[in-house]
Amino acid sequence: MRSVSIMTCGSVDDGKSTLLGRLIYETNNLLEDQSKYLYQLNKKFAKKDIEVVF
Amino acid sequence: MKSHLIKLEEEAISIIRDTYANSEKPVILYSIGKDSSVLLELFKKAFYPVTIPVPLLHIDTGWKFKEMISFRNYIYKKNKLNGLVYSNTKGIKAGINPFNHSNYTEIMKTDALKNALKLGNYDFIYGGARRDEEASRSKEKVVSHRDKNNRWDPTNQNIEPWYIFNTLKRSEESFRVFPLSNWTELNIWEYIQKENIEIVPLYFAKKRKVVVSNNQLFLYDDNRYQLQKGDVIKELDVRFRTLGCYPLTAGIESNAKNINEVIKEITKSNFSERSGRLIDYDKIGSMELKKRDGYF
Repeated sequence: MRSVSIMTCGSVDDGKSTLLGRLIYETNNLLEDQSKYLYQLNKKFAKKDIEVVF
Repeated sequence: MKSHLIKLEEEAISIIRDTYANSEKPVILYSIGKDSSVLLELFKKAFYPVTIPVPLLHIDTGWKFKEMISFRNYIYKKNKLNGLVYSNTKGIKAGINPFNHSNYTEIMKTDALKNALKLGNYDFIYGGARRDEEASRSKEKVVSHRDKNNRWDPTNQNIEPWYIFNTLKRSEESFRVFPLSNWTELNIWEYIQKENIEIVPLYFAKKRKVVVSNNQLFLYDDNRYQLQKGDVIKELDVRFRTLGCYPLTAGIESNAKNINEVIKEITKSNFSERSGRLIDYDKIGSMELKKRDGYF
């Protein structure tokens, strides 16, 4: 197993967490119950025209 | 040993030594689970050949699995540890239980922990929490500041360059220290396997008497279990991925009877270990709110 350290820099709301979340998603590291939970969160907080924010 | 495990081990041991050197009244929060077992092993290594110079503290809600309690007593005795147990006796006397009281976690866990920490006047409080467990734990620092009321403010933490820990604080404030921050569930199991660490047998599959409730499986550990309408008692091969209070910790059907089989199973699993913990998901952002209030 190889570990990778990533640092994101930016101001508030620049998308630091969104970028990291997307990387986790793209590398298939998001588990079923976790993604279900995120979809739930998204339903509650996101704007209507955005499907999922990560 | 695999190289990533060596790295994690070295990191954890240096976290323990660095923080211990700055502490006056350190304590290890021992929850009896697999992470606590690994933490204990790392403390042994960090101070070897001296026995662990830090007391262990278990917060007992009175509703832990029976096998956890006997394992705790065995480990405390076997390792000649300064092992402490604290319960919120007022809560127990008032009959607070996980079935009828929505404030159970607050009273029996958070309040109990805060009382115990106050009694011991502890300044460095070690825990086995890992970042891959849950969202609010993932943004937690390795050395995390708490105010004098044990409150966590994630936006107001000590500034520190990388791993040079900033352990400055006012009196009565404290730090929670998490040497296992960067470990994953799989790392924990790999390490338990390599180091042959003893763990509670509940982690391995066995025929157990369980309550099937809303598609989740709970151990029928004693007759205090309050069956709800629709609940069925069955005998199934069940194991637990995490251990807490038995009416709040769901198990999974499994045939994994030893470490190799457990590792095989979680590598294939599509669900996180925390999916069996009810209190994490009782409302959105739930763990963060509990943590801010002093919960681990």
